[in-house]
Amino acid sequence: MIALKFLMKFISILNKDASPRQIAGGMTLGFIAGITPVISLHNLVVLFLVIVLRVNITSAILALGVFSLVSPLFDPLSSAIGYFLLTGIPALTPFWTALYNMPVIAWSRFNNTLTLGSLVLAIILAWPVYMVLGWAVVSYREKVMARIQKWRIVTIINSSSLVGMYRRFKP
Amino acid sequence: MTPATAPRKTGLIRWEAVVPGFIALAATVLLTVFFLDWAIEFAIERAGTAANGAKVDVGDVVIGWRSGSLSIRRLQITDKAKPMTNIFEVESMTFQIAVKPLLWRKFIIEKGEIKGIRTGTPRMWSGAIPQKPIPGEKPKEGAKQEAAKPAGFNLPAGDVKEKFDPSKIKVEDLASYKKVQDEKARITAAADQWEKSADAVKVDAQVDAAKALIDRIKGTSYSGAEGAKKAAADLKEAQKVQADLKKASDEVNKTKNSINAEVANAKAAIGSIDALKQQDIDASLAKFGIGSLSTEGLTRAVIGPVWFGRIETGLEWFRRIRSFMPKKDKKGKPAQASTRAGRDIPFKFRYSWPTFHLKKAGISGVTSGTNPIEYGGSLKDVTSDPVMVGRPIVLDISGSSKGGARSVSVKAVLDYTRETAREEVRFRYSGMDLAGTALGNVGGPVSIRDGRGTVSGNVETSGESVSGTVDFTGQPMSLKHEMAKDQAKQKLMAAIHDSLGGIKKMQVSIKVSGKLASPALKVKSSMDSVFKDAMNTVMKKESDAARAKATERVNGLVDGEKGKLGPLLGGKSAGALSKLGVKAGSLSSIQGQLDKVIADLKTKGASSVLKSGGGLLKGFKK
Repeated sequence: MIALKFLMKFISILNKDASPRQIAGGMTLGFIAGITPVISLHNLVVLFLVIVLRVNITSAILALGVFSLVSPLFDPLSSAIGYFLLTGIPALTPFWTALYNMPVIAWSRFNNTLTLGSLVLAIILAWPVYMVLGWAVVSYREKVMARIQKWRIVTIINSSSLVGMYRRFKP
Repeated sequence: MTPATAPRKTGLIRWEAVVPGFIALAATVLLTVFFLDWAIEFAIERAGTAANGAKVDVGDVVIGWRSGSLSIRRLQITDKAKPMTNIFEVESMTFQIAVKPLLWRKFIIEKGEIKGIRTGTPRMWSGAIPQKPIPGEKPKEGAKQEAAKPAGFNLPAGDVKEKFDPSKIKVEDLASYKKVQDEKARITAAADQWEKSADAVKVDAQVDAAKALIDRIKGTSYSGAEGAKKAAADLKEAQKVQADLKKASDEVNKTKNSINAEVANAKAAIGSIDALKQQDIDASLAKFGIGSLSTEGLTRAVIGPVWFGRIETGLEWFRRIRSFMPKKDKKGKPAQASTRAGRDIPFKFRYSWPTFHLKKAGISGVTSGTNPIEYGGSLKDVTSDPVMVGRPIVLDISGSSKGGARSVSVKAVLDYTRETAREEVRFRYSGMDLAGTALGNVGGPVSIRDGRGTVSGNVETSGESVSGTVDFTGQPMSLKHEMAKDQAKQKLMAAIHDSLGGIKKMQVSIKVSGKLASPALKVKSSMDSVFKDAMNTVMKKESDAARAKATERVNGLVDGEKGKLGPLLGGKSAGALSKLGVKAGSLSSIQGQLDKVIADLKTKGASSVLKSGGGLLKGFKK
């Protein structure tokens, strides 16, 4: 029931409730949190940004769930990037060493190949992801949404008793 | 009239959410701290279960924030083979953690106390987890036990005479025949080389030069001062030719000795074919389960694959522990992670703290059963970075039961401080109650009816190599062998059954060698002679007859070709040795003549000098 409620809310947001930029922004932050190890210090910052920035929170939560599921696919690449950054660039070694010697910073696990690599990868991909998602929401609303509303199956679902019950009890 | 919709808010920041944002952050941090004990409990259970292959449960975790202590209570580690039993259970573990290093995410445990360790305790619920095959992982214990099944033990099912067919012994299966062929090829190839070596030794020029010189000296008159000078010059030349002849003679002898040595080697190799023939006969009979029934195989079957599997499982723990040690690549950099957890890369650090270091923990516990052993000891220097700590992990435990009838001692030194990992484990458990211990299967299950025993071991590893022994002595003891009625009719099975029933003492020594990943276990046992006697009594007549047939067959296949090797070797070596003999003879003859000529020359030269005056004597002598 919670999942159905959440999905209905997201569809509602996608259809009209939020601007494409807010949806794309929320999903991008969810993407960053999802593609990196979720229990990480940097994700506290992401959480703060989700609350403070004018982005759609439902989209962020949905993206976090989706990208957490697919993140293992990115792990080998992320780990390789992290390994290269931590060991392959001698000029960066003093910087990493300084961070390593700072108290509390070690809890961010920046010296973990996967944590650093996935965070860097997420930051690099954040802007393209934001742009693509923004374009996708606009395209959906312009081209797809109206057509989908006319589908017979959607009409049936919309008139079904389950959806009716949900709408009746919707807070 | 419809209500006016509120204008959609724009702008990047929700200013009204800044304060709630900070509150949410603070709440997250507080919740993390509040639920940290639960998180640690979850992490131990998850990581422990993954490492153990069966459930690891933790009763509860208590964090002492003021004292910097961590207590883990009722840790249960399931026996993978028996999911309703724990391998061991720990009543409580208390660790005193240094607070300052925690700021850098370093877990330094100054001291710890691991109390109430018990083995083989029952579980309330099953600790089995669904097994997922991991690519590249070693076969599971069950598979290993399957692989460890006795290879050398094979009881003949029917009548030996009917079973054995010598014509099934094929020439291509015989190691002795292969050796004959190899030697034949080797002798033929070597013979060409011998001929070439004999031809390469040139003596004709030296012999001719010596002959010419001898003839010239013989025809020369040495008189007066001029004769003395001439004699001196000819003597010098003769001595040079003499040296050349000696050199040639040495070369001939050297070549001759070399060929003789190779001939001797070839003769020894031909001699060894008889031993190979014997092995072929044994192997042929073993295929039919005759004659050479392996007593080691029978001992393995009695002990059972489970116990061999336990030795292998014990060794596998070394590999598991090693997998937690930091790895470096060929350039000395930290190795890239192969796991999905990534790898922590260490950097130069102002403090010499590894990420994890348990400096010292006291250990105490009791064994299961009646009259249990209370033991105690210590565990030192368990660390994530042994190189930095510079000391090996040391586990030292000892204890005894009331009255001292039973005792246990374990000393393990796991040294990962150097490039090559080394482990050494010494253990001894005496006064074990053996009653009801299940062993293997020899046509029916074997178990220990009653008795007491001692197991001790000393196993060392260095890199991938492993060596050591595990000894078991059971005295007094008796075995129980259950056998089906139809098997009782088999003479050999009945004899083995009687032998097992008569055993009052059992000594088994298992020698461990080879590689850590695939150790070789060689078994010696006091039961060997008992089984041998039983087999000989029952099977001697039949197996002797079969052996005679097998010997006849193998001799028939091998001896013909083997017989040709002697003449081949003699013929091939004789040519080269004969050539060298002729050369040695001609050198020897001419050397004798030259020696005589030199002696004459010295006499003639001296007399010429005396005649011509003492002044020249000095010069001639010189």
